[in-house]
Amino acid sequence: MPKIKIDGKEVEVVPGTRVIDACDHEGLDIPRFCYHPGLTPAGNCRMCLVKVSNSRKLEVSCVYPCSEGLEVTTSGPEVEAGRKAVLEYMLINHPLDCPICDKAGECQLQDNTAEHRDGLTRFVDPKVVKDTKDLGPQIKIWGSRCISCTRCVRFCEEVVGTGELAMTQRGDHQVADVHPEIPLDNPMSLNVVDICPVGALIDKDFLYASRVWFTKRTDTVCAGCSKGCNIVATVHQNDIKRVQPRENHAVNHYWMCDAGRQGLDYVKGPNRLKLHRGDRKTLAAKLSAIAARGPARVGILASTYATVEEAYLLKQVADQLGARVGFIGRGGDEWTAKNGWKIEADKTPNRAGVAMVFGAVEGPEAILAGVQSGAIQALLVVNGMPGATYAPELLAAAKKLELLAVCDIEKSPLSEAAHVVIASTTWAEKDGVYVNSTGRVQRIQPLIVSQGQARSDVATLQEILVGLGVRRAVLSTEAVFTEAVPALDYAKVGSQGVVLASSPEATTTVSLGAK
Amino acid sequence: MANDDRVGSRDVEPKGFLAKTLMKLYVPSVLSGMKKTMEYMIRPKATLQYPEVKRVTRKGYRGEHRLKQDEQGRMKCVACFMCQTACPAECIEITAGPSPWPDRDKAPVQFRIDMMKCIYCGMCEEACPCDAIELTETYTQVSTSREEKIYDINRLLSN
Amino acid sequence: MIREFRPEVKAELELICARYPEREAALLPAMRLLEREFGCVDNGGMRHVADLIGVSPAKVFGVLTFYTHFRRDSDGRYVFQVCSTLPCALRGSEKVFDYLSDKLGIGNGETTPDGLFTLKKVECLANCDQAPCGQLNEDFLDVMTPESMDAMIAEARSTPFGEVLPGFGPFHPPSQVYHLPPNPYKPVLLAHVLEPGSDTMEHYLARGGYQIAEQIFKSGKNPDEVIETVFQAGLRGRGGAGFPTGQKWKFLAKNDKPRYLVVNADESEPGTFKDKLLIDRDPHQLIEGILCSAYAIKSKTAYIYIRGEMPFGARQLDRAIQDAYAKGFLGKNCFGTDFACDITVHRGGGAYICGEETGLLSSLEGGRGHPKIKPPFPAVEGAWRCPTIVNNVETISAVPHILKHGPEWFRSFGTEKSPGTKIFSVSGHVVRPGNYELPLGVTMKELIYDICGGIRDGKKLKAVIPGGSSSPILTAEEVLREENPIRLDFDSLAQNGSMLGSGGLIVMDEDTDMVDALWNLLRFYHHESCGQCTPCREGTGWIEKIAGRFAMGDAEAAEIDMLDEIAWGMVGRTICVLADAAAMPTRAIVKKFRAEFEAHVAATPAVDRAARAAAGHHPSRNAKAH
Repeated sequence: MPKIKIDGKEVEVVPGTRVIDACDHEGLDIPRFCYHPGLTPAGNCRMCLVKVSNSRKLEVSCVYPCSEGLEVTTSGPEVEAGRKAVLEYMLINHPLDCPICDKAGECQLQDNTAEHRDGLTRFVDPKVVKDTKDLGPQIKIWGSRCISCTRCVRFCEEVVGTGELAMTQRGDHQVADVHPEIPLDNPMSLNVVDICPVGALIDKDFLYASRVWFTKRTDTVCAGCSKGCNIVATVHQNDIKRVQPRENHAVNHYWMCDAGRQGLDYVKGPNRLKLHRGDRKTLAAKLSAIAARGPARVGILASTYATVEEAYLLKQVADQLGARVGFIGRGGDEWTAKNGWKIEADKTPNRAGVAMVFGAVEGPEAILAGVQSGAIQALLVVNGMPGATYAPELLAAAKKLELLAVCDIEKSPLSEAAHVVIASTTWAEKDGVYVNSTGRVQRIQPLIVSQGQARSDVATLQEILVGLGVRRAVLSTEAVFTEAVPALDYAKVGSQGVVLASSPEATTTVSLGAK
Repeated sequence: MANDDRVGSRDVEPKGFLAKTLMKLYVPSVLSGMKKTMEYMIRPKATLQYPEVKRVTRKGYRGEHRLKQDEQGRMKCVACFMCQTACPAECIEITAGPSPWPDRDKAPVQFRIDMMKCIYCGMCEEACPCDAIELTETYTQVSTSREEKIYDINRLLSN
Repeated sequence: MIREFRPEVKAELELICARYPEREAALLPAMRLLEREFGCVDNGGMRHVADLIGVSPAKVFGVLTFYTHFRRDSDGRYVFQVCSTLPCALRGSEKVFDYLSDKLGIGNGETTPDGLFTLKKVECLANCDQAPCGQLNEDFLDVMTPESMDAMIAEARSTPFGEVLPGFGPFHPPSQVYHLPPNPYKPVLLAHVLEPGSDTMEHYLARGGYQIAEQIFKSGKNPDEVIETVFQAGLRGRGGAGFPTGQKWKFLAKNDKPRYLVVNADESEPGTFKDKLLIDRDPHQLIEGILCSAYAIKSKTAYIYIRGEMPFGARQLDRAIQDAYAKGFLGKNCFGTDFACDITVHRGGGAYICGEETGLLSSLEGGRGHPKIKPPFPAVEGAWRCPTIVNNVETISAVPHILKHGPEWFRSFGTEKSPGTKIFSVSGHVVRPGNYELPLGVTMKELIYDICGGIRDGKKLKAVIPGGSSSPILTAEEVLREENPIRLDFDSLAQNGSMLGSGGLIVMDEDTDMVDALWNLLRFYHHESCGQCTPCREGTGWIEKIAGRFAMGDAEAAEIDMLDEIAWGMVGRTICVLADAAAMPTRAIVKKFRAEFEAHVAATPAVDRAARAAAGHHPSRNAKAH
């Protein structure tokens, strides 16, 4: 393995490593704009210039390969002069938009300028002005802010394969743009807003929404499909302003899809169930009484949005009551990007987790048949899936039920007809664990405080279990998780998740516990 | 109690019957007090007879806030949030939106200042890059409810 | 508007695609087909070729907007292109433009309301001895005058359109007449260019053409021996860099990948117009040079990348190549041997940066002319990531002569480190501008005064740019120096702080305003910067704006040093050397003519500022306003 020297320190590198990656690995902060580890390097911003022993000139570390005996200097007067100069040139035509630009506070140009320059400019001439316009349904560009790094172009071409973006015009009029008749519109388009180093590309949903330094970031996992992209939510005043992908090379690398970003209106939507109704306290006793009349008198209808903890508790309830459990879900289109990045067809986050608790995931058909035939006399619905549409036959048959208890996140004809209604917390308002389609165990965290009276299903189910005499007390969600999966706790799951034994990529042997 | 260093304490033994009697009757102390009172009666007063006489505030006095407007009557504020960020009392709350004018991107849709939380430090005025907010010299802020003390954008524009 | 090619044209495009290893490379030719078939490249046309070639429409849009030469749907039937770069500016091109602007009633880039005429300022057309020059549609206009322009406009107006498709109107100005001024030195490459029929196969064969190529191919000799011969001769690149050609050929990576020979016929360096003459008047000399060079470097596939503004030259090359195929000199069995060689002419789209070798390769591959990061160098990884040699037209044209007469013959001309002859293109204020083929090593003084006839109108010399606009300027004192005079070879010029470059001399007399001259050059570099990397993209615009303010008397004294610093800040920090090509001449002119900059600060320029500002010459803000 070749040995190089970085700032005098000897480092061993894998052959073919770029200098910038070797420096990053050593914890050195090489400033950059156009380099992104998920895209082929372009070497055009010139910000990552370093001194190398093989060349008279400064060279761009994002492209320059490590070779045996190479000596790299990442600081000092020559390198610093290069950085100051590159920034000076970049700033001369860049509009002084910081007060009104959404990128302020997370802008690479701001950060690098604050780090390497003072606040002065020598430029007194008119700046080049480019168009501000829509590039597509989601994304708007402030062309004057574009620094021609080509990250967005490379993303659409290399990762997605749709290539709606290209650099257009020449010289200092160069700007990222679309063909006049073909907008930027692909299933992953909003990633270009994340990777744009400045505020040129803007998500129309986040436009002017909040200044980022007022916001809180919370790591969680997307619930839009079974891929389980790692994401981070930006929350301000108890409102989810946006979600962005988090790096996880076992799941989503650097990206997430647009659907995952945009399907969150329901959390604060007008259709949320916020108030309880009916008598919760006697629910356990009533269920127990009906269950005692015979087998499968009680039915449970849940969804594959249920977390591992909720599934575990549902199984305890089902076992105690001898109830059948059916799961609703949602399917949709699978889609694969040019580089193989896939959006899953299963549009629920935890089918794998439910399967591991229950062995198999039964659909809602048996429950529907049971309610229609009258065999099921009490139905407990525990649902966290947004936009769940219950079959009209179920709604018609549910009127016959002696006891209909609905624990849901949104109002529905079913909740209207229920005897007991419990408002439930959504994915955005609770702790929990999902298992994705590759068997990876990942944590979600609450992003906002729950709406109205909405309470977690983990609490509701434990109360029922206490009422049934199965449990003695209501424990925290993490305690339920550790009970369900004794080998793990939230700290061990961590922010990148762990893999379960039953999946092909398993590297640890962890299996779900029993009782 | 010899060598008593307390300031103003004078252990002077009155000598003579008259002195002792007057002392016992607190006459010197009363006279001394009345002298003090007379001094205050004659001295020029600091009190202003408000509202007939109003205080002329010094230059730079920090009073009520105002959102300023340009020559065309448009508010200068571009909702950059510098004031909200700088405010030590966290009393400013702005909601931004697209501006109705073609030569600007952003403008405040709502701009609230809780005048009861405000400490009138003027950091907002200093932080503003657009000369859009100022603390005027108006110090008469009377209201009869808490709600009235939360100034919204209309109130701030008309101050 | 939906566009679709007729089946014959689609078939034509497929034949074109077959000439490249990757389909994308046919993008620029496909856009020329759009021009021909529909009169312009428009939104529908871009979508159609994107579909046929297999790239995204956005990419095609990016390619269209990078180049200046493709017809747009807003162009009129007759596009007047007036060259505005320094050699033409020195001979009154601004006046020509202003005249046309007034007469047609339109400004730069505008089209008359009847859609007949468009007026554009363009950059150097490689025709500088005919300054002030321009083009009308695809034809050259030599020595433009108000009278000649009146005649053109009148004829264009009166020529009936008939059945002509949209696009270029039917009127063509007369063909160019080629000139070669008297030269005491005997030319080698230019020996036959003025002879009638010199561009034909018959003429070339009659003077012994293709004999050395045939001899080499049929001999089956080791190609490395051919490289060695060229190496021994000491031939150095004639396009600008002056790199030893044999050495470059030896750098080719030794692997199994196909090798490509690319001839750089993108002549765009201001003041250079030699390759145009060679292509227009002696294309077979180049073809034979390609054959010999391709044999030497074991390449089966050669491309001639010719600038978009030379369609006549492209047709000349195409015809010569067809004739060579017909004779069996090109194709699968060259000269009846097992060696194959194919040559394809690839037209550019109008961009100076495509003369930079990796910018050229990016354009050849079907993209914007963005230079590539070096290392790796093209000889290792070039076109389509295969070992590639890029050489100038003049360099390749010299190869058959070297192989025919031997390295010692070649070394009998010139100096030890700069052997052979070089074609010098002299333009500007000399009495006899034109192409002069001289042995390297002749003094500048001899060329300018003895050979070119000295400065016109009895004026005195002020400054000379010796090797195309990217070479640092030399003052009259330096040129006229008696002791150790500056010689026209690679080393003498380098030792004197400049470079031989492309050998395009721009001669300026005492009346030339050097601040104006610098502004003119910087407008060129600003316009031609590809825009990829930060220092050049922003820096070329910045120094142009500062130079413009000096020219308009709107700059401060402190900005003289600032101009120098900003120019210097670009050097060594970019992907290619266009930044250096803009910066080094700037520094030289500022240093050597500082007094003129200082005079401009005092706001007494000898130009009509109001008129210039009214004509759109860079109105600038007050230097104090921010």
